[in-house]
Amino acid sequence: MNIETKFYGKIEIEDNRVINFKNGIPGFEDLNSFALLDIENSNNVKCLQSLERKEVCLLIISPWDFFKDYEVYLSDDEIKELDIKNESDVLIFNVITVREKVITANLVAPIIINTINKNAKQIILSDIKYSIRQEIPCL
Amino acid sequence: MLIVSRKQGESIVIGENIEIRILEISESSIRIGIEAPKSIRVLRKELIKEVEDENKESINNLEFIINKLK
Repeated sequence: MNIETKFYGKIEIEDNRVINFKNGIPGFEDLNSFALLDIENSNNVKCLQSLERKEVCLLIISPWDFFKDYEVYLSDDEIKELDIKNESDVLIFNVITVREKVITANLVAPIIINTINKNAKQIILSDIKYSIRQEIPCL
Repeated sequence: MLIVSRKQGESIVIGENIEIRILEISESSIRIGIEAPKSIRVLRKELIKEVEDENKESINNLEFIINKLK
C-alpha cells in the first residue's frame, strides 16, 4: 500500500507493516493505524508513522539497545487485550523526544506490539524507577 | 461519585479483590495502600497526563535526529 509520511514523502509499504492501536495512544487517542518504518542508516531508531495524520510521526528505539536492565511486565488485562500468546511474539519500543538537542526516551510508557496480529498499545508502567525523560547519551 | 469518610487504618473494598487502606494522614497529604490483582494497573492520574504531553511533544524537533542519522 502507498502511504504519506512526514519525512520521506509518499512511499510504498508492505501491508504487514501496519500496526493497530485500538484506542490510539495517549495524546493521540483518535489515531489507530501506524506504519512501523525502518530508517535508512540507523539500526537503533525506527519510525512510527500515523496513517491518519501525516504530521504525526514518532521516533522509537528498542530500549535494550540503550538500557540493558530495563524491564517491562504486562498485566493480564494487557496480555488479553493484545491477544499475546508467546513472549517471543512481542516487540517493545520507547518513544524518544528532542528538547534543545537533548534526546530522551520515555521509559514509563513502552509501546507493546504483538507481531502476530499487529495489535499494539502504549502502556503506562506503575514502576516508579523509570523516567518519562531518560536521557540517551548517543544514538 | 460515592463519598465516604475514613479514619487512619480503615479501608474501602472495591469488588472482591481490591482493597484501599488509609495508612497515614498528615496535614497536606494522605498515604494510601492499594491491594489489587496483577491484572489491574494502578496509576497516579497525573502520570497519564504526563505521558499524553510527552507524546505530543515527541512529534516536534525530530528533524534534528533525522538529519543526524543521514
